[in-house]
Amino acid sequence: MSGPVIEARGLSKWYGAVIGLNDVTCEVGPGITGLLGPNGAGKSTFLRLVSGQLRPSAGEVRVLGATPWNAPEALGRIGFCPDEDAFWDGLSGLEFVTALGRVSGLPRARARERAAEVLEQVGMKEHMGRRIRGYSKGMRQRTKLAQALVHDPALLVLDEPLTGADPVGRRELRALIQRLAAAGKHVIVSSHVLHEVEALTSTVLLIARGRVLAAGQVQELRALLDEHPHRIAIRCDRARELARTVVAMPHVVGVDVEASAVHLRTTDPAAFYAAIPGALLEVGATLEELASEDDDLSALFQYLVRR
Amino acid sequence: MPVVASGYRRWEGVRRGRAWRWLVLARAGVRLTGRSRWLFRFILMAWLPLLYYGVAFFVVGQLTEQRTIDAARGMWQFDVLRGMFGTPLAERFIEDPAGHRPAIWSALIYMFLHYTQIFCVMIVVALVGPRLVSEDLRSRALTLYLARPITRLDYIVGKLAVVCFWVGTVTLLPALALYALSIAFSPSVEALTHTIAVVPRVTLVSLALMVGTGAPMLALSAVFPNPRLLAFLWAGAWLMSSVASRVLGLALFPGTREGDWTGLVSVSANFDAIAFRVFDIDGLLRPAAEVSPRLLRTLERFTPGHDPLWSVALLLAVAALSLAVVAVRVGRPGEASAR
Amino acid sequence: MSGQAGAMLAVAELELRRMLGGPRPWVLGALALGVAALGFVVRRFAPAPDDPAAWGFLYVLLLMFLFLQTLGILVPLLHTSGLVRDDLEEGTLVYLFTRPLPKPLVFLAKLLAAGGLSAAILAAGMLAFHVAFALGAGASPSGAGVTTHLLPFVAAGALGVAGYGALFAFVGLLTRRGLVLGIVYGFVSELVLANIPAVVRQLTLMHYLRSVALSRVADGLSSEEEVRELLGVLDLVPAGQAALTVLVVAGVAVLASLVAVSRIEFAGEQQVEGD
Repeated sequence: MSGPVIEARGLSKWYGAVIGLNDVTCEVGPGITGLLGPNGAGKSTFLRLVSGQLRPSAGEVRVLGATPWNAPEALGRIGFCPDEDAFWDGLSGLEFVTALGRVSGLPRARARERAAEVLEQVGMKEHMGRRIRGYSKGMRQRTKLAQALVHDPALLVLDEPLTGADPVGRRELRALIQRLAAAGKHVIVSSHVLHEVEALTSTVLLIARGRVLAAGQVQELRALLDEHPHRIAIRCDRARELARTVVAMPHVVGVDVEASAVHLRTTDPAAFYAAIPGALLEVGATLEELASEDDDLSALFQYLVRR
Repeated sequence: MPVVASGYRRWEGVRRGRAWRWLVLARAGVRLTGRSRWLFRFILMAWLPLLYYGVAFFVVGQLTEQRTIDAARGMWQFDVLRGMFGTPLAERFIEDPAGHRPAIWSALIYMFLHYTQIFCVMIVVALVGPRLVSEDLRSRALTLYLARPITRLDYIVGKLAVVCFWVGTVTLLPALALYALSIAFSPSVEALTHTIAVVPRVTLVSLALMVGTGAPMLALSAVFPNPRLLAFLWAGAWLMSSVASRVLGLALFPGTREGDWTGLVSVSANFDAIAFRVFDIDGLLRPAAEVSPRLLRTLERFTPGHDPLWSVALLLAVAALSLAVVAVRVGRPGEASAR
Repeated sequence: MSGQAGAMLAVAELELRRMLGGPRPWVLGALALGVAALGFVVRRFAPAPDDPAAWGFLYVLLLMFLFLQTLGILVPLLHTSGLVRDDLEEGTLVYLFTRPLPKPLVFLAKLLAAGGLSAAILAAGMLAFHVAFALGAGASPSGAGVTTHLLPFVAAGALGVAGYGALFAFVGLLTRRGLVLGIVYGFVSELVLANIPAVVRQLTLMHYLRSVALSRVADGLSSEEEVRELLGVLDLVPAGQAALTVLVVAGVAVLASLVAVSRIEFAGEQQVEGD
């Protein structure tokens, strides 16, 4: 298809006096898109609007060209994986996915066949006959993903699908999502962890306090990060001497000194990282730790919100 | 320059005495359950019968203000009183208000509790009780509670106090308010001295309702995690036991209350029996009923077929068993929350 | 089977599995058996009346009190007042409401499953009672009284499930406190107001259900007047008219529910009406 997969125009959602999403206008294209934002940013509200669970308070959202609220046909092209860890626990994985395949309109036999296929696809083939009650967190996440896939939707809406999975499980789920995208599915996946989304896709939508702060490529966001002074912490001996040296660097705009640490802000992190070995050698300091205090989403959000 | 330690600082203030630790849980529970708008609406509704009984006390108060018996007899208020209690008791009352005040006062407040407030107790307990323990077990909050210097006993007493508080808002408080209203409508302070026994009676019956409903509800909440099923069980037990008692009474003891033990089967009939004895309804109304067939019929309808002491014993046994169940469940929080 | 019918069947099957899982069926089973046992005890230990036909009165009385006026309200209340809320609170509603099946049809499938199960439980309970009553008399169960007493009560029970089930399901859509409100309604309207003569009673469903239940009782008993006097029901309406009234009430409640379910948002934290 041509055109955006998801298109929001002035989209707002409020719950009584609380604003969940505030006048959002954005487009989500084909492939995988990461929806990034801290907890309470409005990610789940956006995904619930996209998956037709909520009706916009103002504006509109179109998914694959149709509005999803009370639109069964549009929902047939969307597969939603919720963040809640909820199931009909008495069912087996196969029964669960089969039932939801049937609710999606597949005949009983076809639903069972298709459920077995998608469960195999998510790596649950060996466990699909067992009751969900006994599943691990990772297995439950995969089962939720399988139910979103069972009716072969064009768009997958995944709300925090990696939360709670162990590191190996996360890697496998990421690989699976990438395989699905490679097979032609559009995926929108929410997370509050930048590197997690970065490992999945280079296209992101940043959301905070109910507003879209930025949309585009991760590299562009990185560049935005680079535009504002980076905070870097250096743990070493001879901290006072080192501070004296770094403060003379033209791109360093502020320095705080502690007994065995220097905290500084630089407008050119690359130049700073290139210069720091020389500075350490110059003062004869032994480096214990060098860490960026900025390399997380919250710093980026704070910066973008300030702009 | 003083240096302030930034590490863990032990609480050095005055601690609340051991005996009052349950109060913290009770307060928190009351605050949390009190957020429900439905509970608030229902309690407001539960106070509505006060209007009806307030009018009754007003009528009684007006009659006692009349200088002559004939003047009182000519008032519409006298007809109302006759409608409520029958002519003989109404006549006796206007002839000797002081002598018959305790009977009228006790009967009115007993009826107030009997007709509407017991039903309100069932609903209020169904509104506040189901999540009291089950939510703590489900969310593992119990482990947090018991990690503090709070014992199982503190926990149980605290939770029981929450139910007692809300039951009190539909029994003890409105009944005392009604009593205060009746005193306010009385022409002399004499009324207070004649009827002061109503206060301990109301308190005792309310206490029976508080413990008798609170303890089983806590036990159910500790056993059943689904609040909807629990509320159903609760209401089902009241209604089914009441119907079963009525059916058994009609079938096994047709036309007589002699030896009729079937009231013991019914939750509400047991509370009624206790209230009947505590208010000494039989002792107070029997003399007037002897000369009024209508009052006698009403009195016999209310008179429990069994000795109310059996109801007290049953209530105590159920409460003790319920609290034991809660203690066992609370004693194994990990096991319960893993379910 | 068309796609939507198959999808509705799948929703109904899920609903039935949910209702039959956990302690709920045990509680209801115990209640129904308890009531049947009561029938046995009453028949076995009640003093023999002068007129043997009075056993028939007692039988009708028990069916009326225990089933129509109590279980007949409680069972649909339990099954339908949380039709959507239970799934919402358990977090499973999202699986049904993000599918290409219109939400009103999801609701309807759940309602039919819940209503069917409630009616089946009531009918099984009444049958168990019939058998227990016969056993209490020291006789083996027979077909006597089935068509004149039991079947009208089974029909009234099923109609009650339709009427009360639709009402409670509607209330349950609007508020989290559907069950408690249903209890208050059941007690105040169907047990208290239904016993007030004249117009007041005609505003309750119970009046029409009694009319259906007692429609053929006179055929099996010697004195219709006595039965009616005993039950305090003196102004019954014809059974057909009564059934139609209940079905109209049920239909209106279902329609209102279908409209409500397509308009209410059942997701998020605050948009669902709190308690």
